[in-house]
Amino acid sequence: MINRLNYEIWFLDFSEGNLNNEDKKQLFAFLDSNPDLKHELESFEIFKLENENTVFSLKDNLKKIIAIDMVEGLDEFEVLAIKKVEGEISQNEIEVLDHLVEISDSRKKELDAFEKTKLFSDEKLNFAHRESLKKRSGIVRLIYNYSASIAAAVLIIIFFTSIFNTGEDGNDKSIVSESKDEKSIPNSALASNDLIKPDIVQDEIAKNLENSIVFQNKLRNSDLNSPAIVISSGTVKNNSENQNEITAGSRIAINLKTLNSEPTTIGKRPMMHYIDYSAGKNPDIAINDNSSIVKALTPKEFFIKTVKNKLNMEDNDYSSLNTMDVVSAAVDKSKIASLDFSKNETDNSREFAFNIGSLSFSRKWTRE
Amino acid sequence: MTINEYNKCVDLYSDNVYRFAMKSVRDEDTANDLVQDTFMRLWQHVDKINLETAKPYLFKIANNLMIDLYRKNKFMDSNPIDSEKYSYVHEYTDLKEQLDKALDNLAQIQKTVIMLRDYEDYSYEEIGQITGLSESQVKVYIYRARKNLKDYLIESRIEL
Repeated sequence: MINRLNYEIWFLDFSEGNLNNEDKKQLFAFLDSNPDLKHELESFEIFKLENENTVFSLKDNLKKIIAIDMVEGLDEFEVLAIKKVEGEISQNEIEVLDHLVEISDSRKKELDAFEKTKLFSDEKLNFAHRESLKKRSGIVRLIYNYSASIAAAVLIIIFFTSIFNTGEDGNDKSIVSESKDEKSIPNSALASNDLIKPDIVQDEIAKNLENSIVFQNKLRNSDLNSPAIVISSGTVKNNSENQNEITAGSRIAINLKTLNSEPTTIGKRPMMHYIDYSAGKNPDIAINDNSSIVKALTPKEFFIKTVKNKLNMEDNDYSSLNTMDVVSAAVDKSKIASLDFSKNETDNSREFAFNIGSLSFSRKWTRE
Repeated sequence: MTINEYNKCVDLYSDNVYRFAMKSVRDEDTANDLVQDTFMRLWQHVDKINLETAKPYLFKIANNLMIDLYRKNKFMDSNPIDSEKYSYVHEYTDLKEQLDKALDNLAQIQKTVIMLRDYEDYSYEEIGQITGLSESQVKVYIYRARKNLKDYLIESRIEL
């Protein structure tokens, strides 16, 4: 109820339009009975401020205008801190970031942590085999390309050389690799070879087992286009029965277009000697010293010459290459080489397999 | 690309690719193999790649090889950072060591992009070309990676 004690509140509400019709009736009735207060009500209306359209022109300066591309899971501070680390932060954003850091101690620590997330390359961490990646021309290039394969090949050669030179008495016999015991081999002996397939080779060896050490020689793949390889080493001579006999050490050359082979022996142990008779001749095992005598090649010479032929290298100067060169060349030609070793504890057997391309050469033996 | 240019790439980038691989797989032999395979691929396509594009190409190949590796070896799958695992970390005080550990805890894609960003100084666009991601995806992965690294550093209570 309006009275002279509270009329100012009613006047104020009236001037602000807060009175309903019923209240207004009360107010007007009160004014009729108190006309001295009409003037006071008018003064309320006079001081009513009109809404102006004035705008604060520097409003934008107050705003922290940053178009932050938010990342889900990150708040604005984190995005700005990362932008700073990333070197993408604008001057406006720096000011905002500085402010956010200023008002929070924990953010300062976080910002420090963000700045430490920049990774620096470890210059001491260098690739140790850089030279092996480089390419060079000719054989040298091949050696570098396949140094690991060469190493494997050399190891396997050494391995086979070792096991094949273990005599009946169990003592290792040194390889006589070059020309000390070299003998001439008649062409006729070299030419009279039957075609022996790998499985027959295995049978031949199995039939003639006389030692406790069993070697099985097999060509697991008959890709005849694979390059040749000599696995072991020794010197060939022609024995009294006109057989090619390896008196010390052995030589095993495999692959071969025709898979021609000839059996040889080391002492009482039968071995197989594979050679490549390209075009019906015997160019890989001998060099014609004259029209009737051929000179037996050392395994190294044989191997080099064979591979060079496979690579269609016209140069007959096989001495210019070493074994590693030609192994490398062979590996390069067939693109892949690997060395497998397996043990079978059941029958106490061991097997090495040296694979070049699709050609696989293996030795399996059992120690009883 | 000539042989000389290829060899120049070996000189210029083999260390970078090796570091990238080493930091990713944490195994010297595997990293060596990755570098060998990467450059072998470059050599196989040497006629199609020029000196200017060789570096991103190398990283693209290395990254693809690593992805193949991760798929083959589940044990190498990276795990997101789990703060529960941080309790032992405070023993380490060396920042670099901590960062290495933090890096190992990143999801693989985060690890890859941030290494390319920081070690090789690649732009988002270039990283996108290497990884096959869009530029915005690269940015998101990098931001999340930094947040995870930051969280790891703070959790590990390293002297900041």
